[in-house]
Amino acid sequence: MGSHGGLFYRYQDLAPQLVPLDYTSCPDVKVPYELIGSMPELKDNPFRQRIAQVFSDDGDGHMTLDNFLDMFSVMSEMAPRDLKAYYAFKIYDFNDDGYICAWDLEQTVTKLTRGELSAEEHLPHPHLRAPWRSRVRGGRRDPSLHCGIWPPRVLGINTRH
Amino acid sequence: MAVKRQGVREVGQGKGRNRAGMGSTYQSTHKEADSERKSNPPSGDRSGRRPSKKRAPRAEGAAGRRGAQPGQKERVGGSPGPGSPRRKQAERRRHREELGEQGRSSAERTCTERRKKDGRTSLKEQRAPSKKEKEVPRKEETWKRLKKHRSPSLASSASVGESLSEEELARILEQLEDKKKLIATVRSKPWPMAKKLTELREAQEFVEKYEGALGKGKGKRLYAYRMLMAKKWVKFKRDFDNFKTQCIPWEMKIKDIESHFGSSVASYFIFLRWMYGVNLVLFGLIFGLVIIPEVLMGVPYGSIPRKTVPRAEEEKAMDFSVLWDFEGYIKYSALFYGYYNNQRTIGWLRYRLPMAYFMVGVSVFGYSLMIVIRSMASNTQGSASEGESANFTFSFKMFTSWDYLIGNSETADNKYASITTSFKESIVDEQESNKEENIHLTRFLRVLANFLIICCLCGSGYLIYFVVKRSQEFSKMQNVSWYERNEVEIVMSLLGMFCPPLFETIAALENYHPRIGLKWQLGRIFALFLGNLYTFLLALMDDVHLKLSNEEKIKNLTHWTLFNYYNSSGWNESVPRPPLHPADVPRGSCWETAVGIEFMRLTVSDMLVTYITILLGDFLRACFVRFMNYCWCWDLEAGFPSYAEFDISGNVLGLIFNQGMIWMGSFYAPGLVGVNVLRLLTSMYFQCWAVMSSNVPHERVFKASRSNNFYMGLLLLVLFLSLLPVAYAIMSLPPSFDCGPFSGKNRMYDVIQETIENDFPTFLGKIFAFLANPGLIIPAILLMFLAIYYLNSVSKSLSRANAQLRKKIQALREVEKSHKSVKGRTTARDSEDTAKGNYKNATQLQLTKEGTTPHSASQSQTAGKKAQDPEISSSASRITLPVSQHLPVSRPPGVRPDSGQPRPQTHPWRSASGKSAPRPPH
Repeated sequence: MGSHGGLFYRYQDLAPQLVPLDYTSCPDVKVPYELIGSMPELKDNPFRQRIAQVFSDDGDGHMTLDNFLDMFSVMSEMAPRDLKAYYAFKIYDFNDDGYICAWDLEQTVTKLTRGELSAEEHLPHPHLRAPWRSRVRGGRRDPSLHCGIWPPRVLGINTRH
Repeated sequence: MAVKRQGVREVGQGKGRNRAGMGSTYQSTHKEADSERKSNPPSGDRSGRRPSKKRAPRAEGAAGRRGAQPGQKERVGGSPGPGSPRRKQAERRRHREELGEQGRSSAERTCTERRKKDGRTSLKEQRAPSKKEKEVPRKEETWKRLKKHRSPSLASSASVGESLSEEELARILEQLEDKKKLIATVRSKPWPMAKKLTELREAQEFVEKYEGALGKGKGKRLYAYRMLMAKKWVKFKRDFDNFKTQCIPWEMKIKDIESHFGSSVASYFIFLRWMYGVNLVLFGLIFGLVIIPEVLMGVPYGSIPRKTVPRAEEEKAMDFSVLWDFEGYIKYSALFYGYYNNQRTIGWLRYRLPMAYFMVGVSVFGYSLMIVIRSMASNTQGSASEGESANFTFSFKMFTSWDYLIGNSETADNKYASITTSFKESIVDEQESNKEENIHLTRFLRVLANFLIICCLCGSGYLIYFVVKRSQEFSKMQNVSWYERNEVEIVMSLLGMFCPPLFETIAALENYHPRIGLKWQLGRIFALFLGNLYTFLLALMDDVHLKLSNEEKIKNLTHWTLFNYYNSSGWNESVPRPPLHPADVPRGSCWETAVGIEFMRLTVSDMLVTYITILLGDFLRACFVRFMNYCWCWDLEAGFPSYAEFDISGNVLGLIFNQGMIWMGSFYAPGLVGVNVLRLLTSMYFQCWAVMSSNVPHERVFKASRSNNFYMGLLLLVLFLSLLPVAYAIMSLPPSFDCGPFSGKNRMYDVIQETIENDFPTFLGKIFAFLANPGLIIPAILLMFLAIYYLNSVSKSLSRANAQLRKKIQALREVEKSHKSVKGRTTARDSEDTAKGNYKNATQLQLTKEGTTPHSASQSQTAGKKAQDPEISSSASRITLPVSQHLPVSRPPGVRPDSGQPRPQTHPWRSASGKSAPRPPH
């Protein structure tokens, strides 16, 4: 972990009582999302929960050191654009169905504006409404029901690397 | 090589041994495989008793193929013959007949279990070999045909190792390349960190292990050394890159500001940093080529009149008030033009100082022009690709409007607000794009605002003109008050202080997006500043002309003083009179130094005004608002005074105009650039502190346009404008007769002519004279115009083509979209189905063959592919073939030495295909 010394200490500082300083033997430590989300880099980000979910193993936002390093390496300036796009897609794909659907868009807008847009402004565009409603009624995560208006390929993102 | 022979001899005994020691051999081969992974694979030093050590895992494909040769089958029958599935089956059958079933089932069971343990394989991995299997038999046949013509007697055991290692080398080389590619691209793989690490380590281990083996003997060591050096070099480069990023000055400060105030404020600081870099270069140029040579090699201070403080000023020359005005000793120092001597060469280097002075003056402008234009060009190149921002307004708003660098809750609040507003605005725009009355209202308001601003500009212009006129009258009068002397500066400062806020207030009428509003604001303040600058220049010009007209008188006076001094009576004629003390010689006013002093003063006073404004307007205001808020009638923080916002437009323009001053003044005051470097340095720290301590983020945080070409465009304009007066002075004003490097010449540029005549061979002088001929210059200029016209038209046509292509792409995309919405689901399901089908096929195929070597199909195929070419062409490898086929025989039948073991993970897909074939237990 020598080369990640700085980051490791960041990680360790988040939860000094949880994370041991000696990391050679016990790798199975997770820092809870509450602590991750309160980092200065993330605390003001509307998508912080989503980011933590995407990078955590189980999608619950609790992070191991590896997840933490992952997050920083993807978010760093050095990361290639395609990699960033890949993770950006994941972040905006709230329901993990591989498509940015109307529901995802709604989530995004709500997060971006803190729900300050009125209900009328919130409604999806008329030609999107039908599938959106059927999806809401269905209420399940069925890929055949997805209302993908922007499948990843259209956005130029290859989700399967 | 004796070892090889031994291995061949053993072939005959192989069967017996195989029958006897099956389980044990199995175990031992495993150990060997393990140990082999740790050691480098040597090419010739294997003992015959451990033939599998090297070859088993890798050269198997080749071995199996050879095992299939007709003439050899009887002998080789016992070999596990990892080859094509069909042949394998046949072999197996024979195998059973020959050997019986004893012992084998147990070994196989172990194998199966081991394989099962290795876990699942992905769909893709399974499909691949199943496809390949079909191709294998055909290849096999061609192979056999080829082999038939070769006589086995040619077999020379000597080259066994080489042929094998050749194939192996090819394969390892390929894998090595793969691994290296993996190492290089591991950053861009969307894998979790643990996987990245293991893959990387694996790949590195593999590379480390095998790259040395690719060379032989001496070459090997050299190769290893080279690889070591390459690795070190890569590491060094990475460290150096890190170091470079750390060395970017003020990067952390600027990032900090960016996170608090958004990228628009940060863009000012980035611009400031860039400016600092440019000024450092200019400073190096001037300091290294003009000031230092003059100080080191020129005549020392006090030796000649231009380097001495005149007698009348001597008393006060060291007073601070005098020095503060850049008079006294500072005026007669190397910081200013007048100090330099017109001696053609100075010092033992025979350094041509006047020439150097002139060339440095020219190259300051040349370098600045070049660097500004270059950075503009690179900015446009970056921004050319994103010209479609108008197309996907909402998409961009949704996915790119959040600035992920924001780390401050206030800024985040503002950002939320601004995003909400922008969404609302866009929605309104989208809904009612044809709002007639609104557009008329906006248009009216915009015209009104522009009218008001033009009125303001005209008024301020007239005010400046009026004041300058008055000051010229004052300058003729004798004792004028302090106010009357400094009226112009005061009025200009006041205008500069009050006009920008006024403009901003008026600009609120226009209701532009802040990014566009900022540009308008910049343009307007630019016009105001330009007016100030040019009135200043005109006043200066008047002054210069006045001084020039007086020059003739002073010249005569000086001449007469010297004449009288040497010819006066009352001095002993026999002793030559000591020369007149330089301080006593009357001298001209040296307009160049006067101009330089003006610029120097202006720069320093500008700096002080900026700092004081920041201290009073930002810091004190912030302190007042912060601490008086506890005991005030209304909320100061939210109400009237509030905290100040960072004034981007004013600061950028201040910087640009300051730079214009530097460019104009640096010719007359070489020390000016040094002062400016200090100014930029201090203002970087001071403004960073002020911004962080006493400013609040803008109400509407907006992203700066990524290319700050607008700033650069203004800078270029100012550079051009400041080039004009300097060029005018050089070309058409006579230099002062008694100060500066060009004194005594008619024009400043005469120094070039002089150098050409005296220092260059005559024919060069002739060539220059020829080149200076208007008959040549005018066609050259015409040619340049033509070239510009041509390039312009080319770029126009290219951009038109670009636009057309873009349109085409858009049309295609729309078509695709409509298709996709229909097709999307069906194709997705179809592909899934086919995938499943393939999977089933693959498993079935592999179920049918109960061969011992399930994964050999793909392997032999790849190996065959690679091996065929070299073997057909090179006789050496052809000769060795019959021998090599014997080698596998010494292995126990039915048991592949590495079958249960995950192969050296370097080819995961192969081992995967092997593992995934579930065989019915016997």
